[in-house]
Amino acid sequence: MNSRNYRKRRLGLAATVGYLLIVSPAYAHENHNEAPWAACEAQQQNSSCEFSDGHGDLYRGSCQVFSDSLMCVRNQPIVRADVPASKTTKSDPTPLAR
Amino acid sequence: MTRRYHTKDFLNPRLFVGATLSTLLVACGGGSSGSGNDATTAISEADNHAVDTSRFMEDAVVSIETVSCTLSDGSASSCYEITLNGFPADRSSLGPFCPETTSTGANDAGTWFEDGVLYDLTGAFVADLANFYNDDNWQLFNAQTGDVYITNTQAACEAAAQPNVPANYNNYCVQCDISYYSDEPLKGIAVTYLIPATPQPRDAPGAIDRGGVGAAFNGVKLDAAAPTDAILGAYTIAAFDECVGHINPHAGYHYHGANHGDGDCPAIDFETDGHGGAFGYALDGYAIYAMADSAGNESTDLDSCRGHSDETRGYHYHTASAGENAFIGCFTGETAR
Repeated sequence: MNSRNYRKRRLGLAATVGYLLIVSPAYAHENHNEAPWAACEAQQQNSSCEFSDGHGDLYRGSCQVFSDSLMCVRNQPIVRADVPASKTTKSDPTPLAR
Repeated sequence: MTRRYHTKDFLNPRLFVGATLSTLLVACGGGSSGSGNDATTAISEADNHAVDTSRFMEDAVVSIETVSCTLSDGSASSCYEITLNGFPADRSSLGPFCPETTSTGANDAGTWFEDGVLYDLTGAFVADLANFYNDDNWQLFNAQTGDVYITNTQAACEAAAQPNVPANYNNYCVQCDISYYSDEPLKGIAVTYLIPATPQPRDAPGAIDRGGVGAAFNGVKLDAAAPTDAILGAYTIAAFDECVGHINPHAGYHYHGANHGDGDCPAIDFETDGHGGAFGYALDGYAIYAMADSAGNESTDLDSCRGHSDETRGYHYHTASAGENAFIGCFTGETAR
């Protein structure tokens, strides 16, 4: 390999690394793990779990495996909240929810 | 086009990688059944009802044969090999999925679920995603025109409908058209299911894998939970229609939730005793019924798989609600290998 090609390849590598370092963090995302999955983080299969939706309704069940990941699957009736949504990360979903 | 899934497909590294890469609009593909560690409902012989293939709608069925099979515990059994059309036999069209603009209303848009709730995927919802998810990287629309970025071609849908979404398809509403995969109207991608003719209870619950959950009587696949973390992590929305179904290149049109009787989604009749009606079979051969009875009440004695027994129906499951990204939690019976 001549020095010109070598320099080119190094520049290419540097550009790629630079791209990954600079651009990727912009999409190194927030944690998008939804509540049913988050409820079973660090849990074992069949552990009890619960999560709330944007309205404050409570879902209680157990952690079940879906394609190697654990998700909270409800097996008790939904406990309806007495008050409107309290979840501040969701912007008043009530008008849009079914 | 017919696609059939077996556990052994996922022991083939090339198929496994391909299937893994194809998991977006998703959780679709391969085999089923692992082992759990929790006892499920003890099922008596009387509660163990045989599969009734006549429950599948006539227009949904391509073929049904009785074949020898091996179950997940290694035992020999008899199974139904059921090939279904893949297009809902009780409907004449699919969608809508993504809203065209930020002004699009609920009648012309599909749905999306979050934390157990099914939302109308209106233009207003799309415009509010950064606030909804508390993340300013969401920008699924052109701020000047209000047009929503939609995967409007087959190439775009297939690029975005996989876990490693290219950066240029971040911030897209993902939808595929069934015409990409089927030349005939009212036809989808046919899928073949192998279901034990008579369910065989297992000692511990079986996990739901990429083989999915089961088949609806209208011919549509009941899929495993959609990998919402991968979808949202790429700033995409894999839009559902009102019936919580969407299309991918691998399973065609498939469901990630049960929504019957809402809007244009066909309702299921209640049974004569007020019990919710059945709409499909799980891959272990137990029937899946609507979530609630005619009074709107849910059962209070469901096991971890969301099943229980009664004198009329024997052991059966009840689906979770439309927004929970699940039908049942696990398999109480053995599935076919």
